Amino acid sequence: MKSSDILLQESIERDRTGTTNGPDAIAYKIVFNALEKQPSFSLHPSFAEKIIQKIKDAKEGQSHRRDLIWLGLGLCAFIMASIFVILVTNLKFTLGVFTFLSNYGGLVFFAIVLVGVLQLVEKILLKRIFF
Amino acid sequence: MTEDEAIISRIIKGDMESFGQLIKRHERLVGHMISRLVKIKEDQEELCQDVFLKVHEKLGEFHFQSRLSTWIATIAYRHAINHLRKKRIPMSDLDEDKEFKERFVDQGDLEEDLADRDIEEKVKKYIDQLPAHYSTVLTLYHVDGMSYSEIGKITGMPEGTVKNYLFRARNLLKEKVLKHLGKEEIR
Repeated sequence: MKSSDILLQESIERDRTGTTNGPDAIAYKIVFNALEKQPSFSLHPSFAEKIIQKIKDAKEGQSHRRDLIWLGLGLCAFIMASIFVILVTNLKFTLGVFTFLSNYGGLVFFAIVLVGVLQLVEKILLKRIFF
Repeated sequence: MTEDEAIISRIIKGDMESFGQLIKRHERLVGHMISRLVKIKEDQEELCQDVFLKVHEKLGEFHFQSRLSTWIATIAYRHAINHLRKKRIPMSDLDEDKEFKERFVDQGDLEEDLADRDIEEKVKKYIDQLPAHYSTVLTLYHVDGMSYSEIGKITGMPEGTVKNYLFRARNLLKEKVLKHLGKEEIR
């Protein structure tokens, strides 16, 4: 690029209305005027709101993750404490009061089936009545 | 405390309304940067969003080493460049492409029949045809009113290179305008 060209650019940048003429000067004036126009790019009108919502969602996600971590830690602590207590107290598992149920296996089975059937009937009836 | 300082301190305290104000104030600048560097329309808005998410994340690290707009533009520029690298989209440079000038100036206009339309609109289209570095520098300087040193900070180019890019890009546009209008006609 010629230095005269650089000088011409500088002179037009300083004074767009200058009297410098000639094809190069006229072309540069057109270029400078066009350069100051905004590029034709626009963002969605609710662009800012979308970003803010994303940040809020991310924060909620983070807090949910934090809660899960605390829950996991709590469960671990509970299990470890239980193991510790079992070992220290030499705990032995017995069915205790439930041992008498072993004599009534059929009754226990009947109770479980009855509860199951009642649940099923209730579900079917509710569906018919309300839906 | 300047307005920018006040707004940043409110955002750091969790005021999202202030962050909305910051976005509105700088979305045009970020849009210019991204649209000049990334030509795929579908990616542009998403990249702009990423830029502001990054700005929000890193706002605590900003200590007014530069103007806020320069810092945001730097993030936008780097993010766009990383995107181009990830997608393996080459960024051509006029130094590497010696024949670009001839091709650029001689290239026939696809919309030659629209010759009567505003020549400045045409120039805007020519700017889009320039290599991304050139159109970015042009936009930052002429539209966003940044200085050579600010553009240097944003793009990581020495000030001399910024100046050189500006002059060369304007020269290319001038040649194209001359070709479009016809030298004889202007004379």
